[in-house]
Formats: sequence, structure tokens, C-alpha cells
Amino acid sequence: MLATATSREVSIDEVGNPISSSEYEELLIRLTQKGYLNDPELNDDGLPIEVDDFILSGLTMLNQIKLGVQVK
Amino acid sequence: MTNNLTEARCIPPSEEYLNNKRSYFQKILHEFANYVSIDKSRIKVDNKLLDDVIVRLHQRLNYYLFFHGKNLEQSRQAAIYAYWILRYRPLRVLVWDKAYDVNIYFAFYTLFAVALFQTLSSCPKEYQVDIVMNIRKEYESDFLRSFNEYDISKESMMMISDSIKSIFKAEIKRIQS
Repeated sequence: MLATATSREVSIDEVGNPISSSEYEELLIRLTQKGYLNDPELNDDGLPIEVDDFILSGLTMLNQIKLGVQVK
Repeated sequence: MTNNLTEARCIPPSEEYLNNKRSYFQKILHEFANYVSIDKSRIKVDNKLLDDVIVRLHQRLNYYLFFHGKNLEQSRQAAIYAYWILRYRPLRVLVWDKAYDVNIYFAFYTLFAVALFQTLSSCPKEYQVDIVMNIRKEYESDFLRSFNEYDISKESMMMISDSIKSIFKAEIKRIQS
């Protein structure tokens, strides 16, 4: 079922909209509310916090730091 | 037992789950494009290959939960994610002036971003710029070259992810002392 490099059906998407600063704030609040600081493995439903939130938060933070470097 | 095993391995993610993941990926990609200073419209995503990455990670999480009775920690999830990004290479840039394939940078920054978020969030802001600059200067090119040249297993990728996190912790400790 998984595609291979030779038999794939290619579908192309443009990159979507950026995360806004309010969305980023919401994301951080959500991670905190889910109890990440108390237990990094579980959210309040007892389900794993998926890695996407961490990747997005980390990349957003990197971009903020990059801006700091440019200002510096 | 056999039936449970089969079920644990074969539960496919729903179409809704895949749609959510695809949509969320676009936000991640936007931040990545910003960071590597590339016009976002120049990065093309092969959705079929992206689905394969999502499905593989989903399978691994199920597998780990079933056999180990707990969830895979986020930096290790990032390692599995990066591993499948390197295998399937869902991103393409038509004209790319950097040293390696765009997927190699994406895989590396996935690990880097998660390690950074897990360790640097609690670090005073005045140190953050220097810590990131120091780590990038010292280690980034070696990791990128390794991702390009070596056939890295999932387990090795998890060790690399742990190592990046340890590097952050050590640098934070060093710069604060």
C-alpha cells in the first residue's frame, strides 16, 4: 500500500498559511494545559501528545531566535 | 494474542486523521521555509509520500504502545518522523542552492526544533540566541553530512535525537555558568 519512488502518484500542494502569533500562543497554552510540564508523555486525555505540536513550536521559536540574531 | 498483535499493527489512521496531519504539516512547512529563507511557494509536497510518512509514524506509535505499554517520548517520535522523511523524501524544490537535498534539512531541523523546544523554553531569552548560534556553528554541518552520507537506522536516529537534546542541555549549562 505504501508508495515507492517509482510507482507513486504525485499530487502537489502549495505551502499553506503561516501560524499567527495568537495561534502560537494558543499552542503553547494548549501544551501547558495538557500537562506536558508534569508528564511529557501524556495529555489530559491520557493520549500521547503528538510530535507535530513540538516541531511547530520549535520551528516557530527558531524563527523568533533568527530574528533576534538579525537584530543583534 | 495473535489477533491483538495483528490489530495493534494494522489499525490504519482514518482519513480525517490524515487530513488533519496534512493540514498541520503545511504550517510546519511554512515555519521551515521561513527558517531556511526560501520562498514557500518553491517547496512542493508530494502528498502521497507525506501520507506514507504519517502512516509509518502512526504504526510505530501503536507498536510501541502495544509492546512497551507507554507512549514514545516526543524527541523519539521526532526521530522516527525524521527517519521516514529521509526515506520517502516528500519535499521537492526545483532550484535549491544549498549543499544537500531539502528533505535532509527538514529532517535535521525537525530533530533540532523539538530538542530546542524541550530544553530552551525554560532558558532565559538573553541566552537563547547564543546557544542556538553556538550549537549550529559547532554541530550542524556534521549532522547534515551524516544524514546525507550514512544509512541511518530508526534506532540510530533516536540516539541522534537524544544526543542533540544532550548538546542543548550541556550548552545551556555551559553558557549559564
